[in-house]
Amino acid sequence: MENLLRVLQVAASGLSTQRMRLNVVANNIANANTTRTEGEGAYRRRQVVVRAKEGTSLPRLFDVGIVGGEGMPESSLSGVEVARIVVDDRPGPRVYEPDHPDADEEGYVEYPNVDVVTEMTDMLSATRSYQANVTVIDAIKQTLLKALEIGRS
Amino acid sequence: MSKEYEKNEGVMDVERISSLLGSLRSQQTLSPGQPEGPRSRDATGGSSSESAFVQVLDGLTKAQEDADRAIELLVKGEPVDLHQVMISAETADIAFRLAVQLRNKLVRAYEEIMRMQV
Repeated sequence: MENLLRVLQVAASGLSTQRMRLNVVANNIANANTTRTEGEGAYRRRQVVVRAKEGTSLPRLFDVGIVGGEGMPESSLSGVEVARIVVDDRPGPRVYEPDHPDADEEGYVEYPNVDVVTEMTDMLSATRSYQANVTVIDAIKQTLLKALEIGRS
Repeated sequence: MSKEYEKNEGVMDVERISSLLGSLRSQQTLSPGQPEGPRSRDATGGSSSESAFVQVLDGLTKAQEDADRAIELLVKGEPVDLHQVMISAETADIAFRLAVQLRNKLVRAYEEIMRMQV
């Protein structure tokens, strides 16, 4: 029981991570044309750095669970987490727009280094990963429900 | 309890369409049944299967409380992940089904013994 519930938590961490990726992609796309930020210059695209979560004690549902088999550290199955969100420092394209309020002395405006096509593929990837994690959760649930059907008759 | 279970089963049939609603409703349906846990515990004096069952009921209560809390946070608008709410609701659902199955087993064993010719 606990193993399966642990997998639920693992899949949940995947869902959280993918949702965070989607948030970052949304932020990038929303700021695809932002030439002004709190700091200076144009918006710089954000990226999510993901890392495998190290062993933590997850909540157990029942204290009378079936004890997990030996030989394989359960703590290695702890899911994934967002390590940090980093800023992509590559310069964005400089466009000649002398009328623009944010143009420099030479009349060039720096636009964000956001490539909408890249962001869209990132978004698709995050969406699919999210769906994959949901499918895992469905599979776990089906497994548990099937197990509960043992002996029912 | 068995009537509640029937009702609950009916609710769970549509869970693929609106799992959250189903779990919410099952939570409501279950609320009156929750005193079962403490009462069973009071009656605990003897067999190991009985105390194991009580532990399972405790676990069920905890899972349901978790789900309740998650749903409450969601409804309040707190920053809680939707999938966490769903997963805790599903966990409570599965825990409830497990408890029901165990209860069925226990009742069946009891009836079997009661039918025994002395």
